[in-house]
Amino acid sequence: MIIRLGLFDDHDIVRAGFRYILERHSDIQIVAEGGTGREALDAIRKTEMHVCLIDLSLPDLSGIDVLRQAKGSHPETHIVILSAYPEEQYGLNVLKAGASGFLSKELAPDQIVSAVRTVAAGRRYVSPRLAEMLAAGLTHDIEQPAHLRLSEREFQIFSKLAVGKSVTEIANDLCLSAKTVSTYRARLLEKMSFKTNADLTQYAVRNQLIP
Amino acid sequence: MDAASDPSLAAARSTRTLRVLVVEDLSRVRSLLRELIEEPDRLEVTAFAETEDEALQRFDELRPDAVVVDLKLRAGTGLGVVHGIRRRAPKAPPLVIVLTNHALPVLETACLQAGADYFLDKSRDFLKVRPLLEEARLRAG
Repeated sequence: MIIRLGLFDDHDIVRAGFRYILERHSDIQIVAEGGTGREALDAIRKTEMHVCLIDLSLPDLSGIDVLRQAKGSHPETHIVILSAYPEEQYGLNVLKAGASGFLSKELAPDQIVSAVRTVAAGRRYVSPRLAEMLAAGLTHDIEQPAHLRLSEREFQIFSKLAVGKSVTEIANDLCLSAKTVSTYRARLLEKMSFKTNADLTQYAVRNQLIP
Repeated sequence: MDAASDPSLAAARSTRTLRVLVVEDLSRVRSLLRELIEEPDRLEVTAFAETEDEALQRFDELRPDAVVVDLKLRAGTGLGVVHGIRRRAPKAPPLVIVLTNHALPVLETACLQAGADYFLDKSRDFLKVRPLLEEARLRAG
């Protein structure tokens, strides 16, 4: 089987590197690529693809936004989130959001190829390091950082508040009402024992959660 | 063995100037590289290029002995430059040094497979460019 692959990252050079490595394997064919979340969504809707690699931080939508919008309508496309950040910061939330895998851009090329094949076969790809952390998380629940206690939607809104987006902007991004976003905001502030958006930003910076 | 103790290397040093093409789209970095590299009669920056197309055109015109190339360019990529050079000069390729802020393993592998000799992290290994060019010059005789 030829794996039809989409590749979305806003750095041309990162895409060029991934393309160069992946296309040397005769079972992988890149059928769509681009640098924004909208392009990724458009491609998932219009192009038949088995696997789509999407950067976590694109200039318009985040990889998680694309994942959430695409997975309901196109469950046949397995989405893998790429990030320059290590697995421990985002891996769990990305998997909780329904991604088929989380790939740190720091991984070696053969791990990236192996991840694409695993996901194309309908399985989830979890790097050995993330697997270890997930296992450790089961036994160290109490020590979980506050952001890991958030639901998928709460974390999504947390990420946007932390980079300074307003409730209205977030509502527009996510096609929600401003009232709903405010409710999520209040709930996540309470879960994290914070009072203001500035507290969130501070926490996100300290925990390297801002892409 | 160094040039001081080997007469043939010393002779080579006096006759051969290594010609370098620098492919980099930031003028500040171009100036830094010229300062780092140039030394009369030994190392010379023969030309600069800012895009992939321009780099390959300069390569065709000048056939430099070495190419120092950034990955992120104003148009095209440094990976395209490395690949294009290898296609143009498969038998006697120049020394190709990639110098980048995107030091990801996947890019390193891609560049080395495409024909680069070295893949250097711009912020960490900038100064290594000079000794690598010196070595190439001595090897070329």
